[in-house]
Amino acid sequence: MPLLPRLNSLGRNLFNKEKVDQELTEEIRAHLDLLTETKIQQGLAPEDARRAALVELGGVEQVKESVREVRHGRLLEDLAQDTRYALRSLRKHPGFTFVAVLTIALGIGANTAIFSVINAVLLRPLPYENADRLVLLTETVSERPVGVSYTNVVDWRNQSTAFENIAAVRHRESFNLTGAVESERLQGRLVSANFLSTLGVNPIAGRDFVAEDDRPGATPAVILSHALWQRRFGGDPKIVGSQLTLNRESFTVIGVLPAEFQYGPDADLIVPIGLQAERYAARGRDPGVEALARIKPGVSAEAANTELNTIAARLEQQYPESNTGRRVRVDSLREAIVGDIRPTLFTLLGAVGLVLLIACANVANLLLARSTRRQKEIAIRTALGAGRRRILRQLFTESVLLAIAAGVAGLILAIIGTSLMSSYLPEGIPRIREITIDAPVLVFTLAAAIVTGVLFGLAPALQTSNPTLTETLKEGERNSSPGHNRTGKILVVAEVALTLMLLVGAGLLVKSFWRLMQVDPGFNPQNLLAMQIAVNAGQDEGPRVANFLDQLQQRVKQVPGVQSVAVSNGLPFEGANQPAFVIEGQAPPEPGKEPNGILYIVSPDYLETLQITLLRGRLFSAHDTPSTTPVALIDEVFARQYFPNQDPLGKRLRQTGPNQENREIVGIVRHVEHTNLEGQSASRGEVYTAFNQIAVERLPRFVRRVNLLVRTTVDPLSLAQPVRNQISALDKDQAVFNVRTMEQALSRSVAARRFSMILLSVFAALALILAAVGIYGVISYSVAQRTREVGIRMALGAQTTDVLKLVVRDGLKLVVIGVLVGLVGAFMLSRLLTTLLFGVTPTDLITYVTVALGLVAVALAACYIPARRAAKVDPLVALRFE
Amino acid sequence: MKEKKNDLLQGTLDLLVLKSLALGPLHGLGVSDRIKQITQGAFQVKPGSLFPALHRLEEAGWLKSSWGESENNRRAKYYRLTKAGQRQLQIETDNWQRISVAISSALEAI
Repeated sequence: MPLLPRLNSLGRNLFNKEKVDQELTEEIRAHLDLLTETKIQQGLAPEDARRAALVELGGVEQVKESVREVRHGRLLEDLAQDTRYALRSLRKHPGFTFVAVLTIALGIGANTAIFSVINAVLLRPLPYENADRLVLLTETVSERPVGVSYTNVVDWRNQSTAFENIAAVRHRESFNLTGAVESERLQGRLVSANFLSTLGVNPIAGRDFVAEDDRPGATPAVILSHALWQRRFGGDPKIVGSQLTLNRESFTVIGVLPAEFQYGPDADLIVPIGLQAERYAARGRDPGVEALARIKPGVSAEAANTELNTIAARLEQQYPESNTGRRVRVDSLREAIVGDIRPTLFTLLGAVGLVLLIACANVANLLLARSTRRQKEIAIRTALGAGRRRILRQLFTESVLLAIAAGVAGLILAIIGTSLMSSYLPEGIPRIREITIDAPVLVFTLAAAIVTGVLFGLAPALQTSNPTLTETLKEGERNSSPGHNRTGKILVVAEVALTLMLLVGAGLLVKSFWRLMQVDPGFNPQNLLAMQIAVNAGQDEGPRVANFLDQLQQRVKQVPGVQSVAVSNGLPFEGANQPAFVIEGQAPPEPGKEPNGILYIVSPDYLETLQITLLRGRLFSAHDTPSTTPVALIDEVFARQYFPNQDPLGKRLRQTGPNQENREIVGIVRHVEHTNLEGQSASRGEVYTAFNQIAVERLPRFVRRVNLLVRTTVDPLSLAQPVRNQISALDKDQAVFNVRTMEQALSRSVAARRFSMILLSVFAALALILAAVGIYGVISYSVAQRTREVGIRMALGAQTTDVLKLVVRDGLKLVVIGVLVGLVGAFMLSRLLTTLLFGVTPTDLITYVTVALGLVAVALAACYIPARRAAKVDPLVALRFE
Repeated sequence: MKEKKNDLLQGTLDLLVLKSLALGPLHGLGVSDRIKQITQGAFQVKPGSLFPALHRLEEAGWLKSSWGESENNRRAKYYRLTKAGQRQLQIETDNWQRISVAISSALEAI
């Protein structure tokens, strides 16, 4: 087919439109004249001939329109025309346009905000080279993760072939920076020399660690974070090569990390783990590390897993005392980081999806009501030759235009929303700082806007473009469309059903949260101030440390408002060692199944300060010293697990390993929730030993991180500064960190739950408002339609209450159907929430009933307003209404 | 229903229009009269189909139009076949013959 004439005619049609059209008019007129003439020649009277010709032609405008339709460029031209027309019509109804755009904008905004979180957290690859090959290796004993032993990591690295690299990382190591300026506590990370190369990250200045840096006795080297370099050293370009005093030791700065570098919890600096190799030398009893590895290209995770477990089995043979029962699990790094948050985010996406559907239903209803008023306009357009398809296209242009405006507004709402979210939720959600509105998010918003436009344009468009022409024209102003009302009612039922599902979801989460808040943590978190102190002391400084701890408690106790003071190694919601124990007189357990528990090493006043209930026996006292019988307390769980059917009091236990002494159990106390309120540590027994019974020369090993706990009679935070003052009066270089109340610690442990609960509740509330508006709209509309009927009824003696009942009953019927549909939907969908619930089943009857009743009440209110208006109608006015 | 029939007949209509112009230029009414004549009245093309077809074929480059005088001195728009139009007529004629032979033999088979 020749291209040139086509392009030629396209250009002519678009740019010379009027001339082309005029020519067409002339052509048709000429045709008509010729036809008339032929008829006259056949013997008809001129007037009859003309009429016959017109009939044969079948309508001048229709012929012209059908010719226009086959022309090139028709689509473009139509689009431009439709857009112009739609803009004009939207401008003419600012109220309608505003409400419609706002409704959809809320829906799209919520969707975009949640999608941008999902995009950042779940979809975008981790910010490392070939991040899909990065894995975390976890050691397990009977499927339960235990701390990864550093020496095992070294053996894996030396013996495996499936990995490019295996690195060891120890997070949250604190360093005291002292020197010329004010001393400062820094967050550090101990890493093996290959840590950065495993991630594929290079320092922006200086060099990476090499194997020589990563061994005991090497010259201490440190790499600084970009943030620390900027903040503390003003971005000094000559920083590489300079010396820093960290924990009273001199370190050489060898490099600076890139600004965008991020891995795990924030750290100011990284230091080779090999410098402290003696701390990690005891296989199975070292503080534990995180094992980060990169699988070789082409090797599957399963193959890597198999190989590692072969090695683990070999190590088990070699070191039965420490490695019995130890297996290795390979998890993708991405899964390890974001796996937990995925169900929450998808739940929220589902929820905002429902909100958007409800918004669509509402706007569809608005458009329906409007289209009824437009029947006549459309009939005229049809009479002028517009085809059904043409009119549909026009209507869709209008809804898509509305949706795009709403998309833009929604995007703005989303930007505000995400910045609110990320500033209120620093913890709980990984990668939250990476949230941005980028290309995928924009594409999502655009797609959402267009789909929404088509969706809410569908019902009214189909409704409107199907008029019987003459009827509509004849009908004039007196026009009620039963069709509109049916579609509108179906939309309301759908809205109510969707809203109910959302409300049930939100209700279940709220109830879970409430349940969680009811959990007794086993201690009294009110008026309890906690802070951490890292005491730096050499091996031979035991007496100094003992004196410091003693003085510290003495001084703090003097602060007004302080009721009691304690120090501990290990604290609920913070962390503690979880060693294995040997119980005297019991048959040696199978390797790997030794009794184990959470170990708290505490000062005598600890249990009283935390108000942990003593069940039997006695607590520690000042009389327990290194020279008296070593004692221990256990909790009820430990007692049940390892002393079934016998009295633990008087029995003796010791930690596994060399140089451990037997301790007599002198008391049994209540179990304390250790990790969170959700009972994750419910089956983990707890053991307490006394700080005061640690031999002075061994003390420095236990105070690298101690908790200072202060029970107050006043607002605990108001004592933070006075307590700090006491500490610095004692030792001005002693940095204090992580100051918080135990209530804050508790609240932080439920932050992720609170996040999903609040967001889902906000979305459910939004849905409820939209649904109420929707019901109000439909009932108002039907009341307006029935003004005449109401007038007649009242003229025939109906009372105000009768009219009220009539209208409300109508509305209520829809609501009840919607509620029933919604209950079924919620019943089927709520099991998807199971992982997010706590202490409540997905089909919790009370939640369902409460929510359903609440929704019906709101719906009643929404019906009542228009019903009142109907009841107030003056029959005379009503009858004259049309 | 109506739409479908149009689609089916569009090819036929194009062929008839091209054929009717093979002997020389005609105006719209002339084309429809000629089609009626050569099909012995079997096809009566209404203006609502004729004019879109004429314009479509013109935009495809198979016809060219110009204003001229009718038999009784009236202004009218005349269409004539272009070179491409003549080729197209040949192609469509061949096509049609192949199809009609095939359909006939199909219908004659038992």
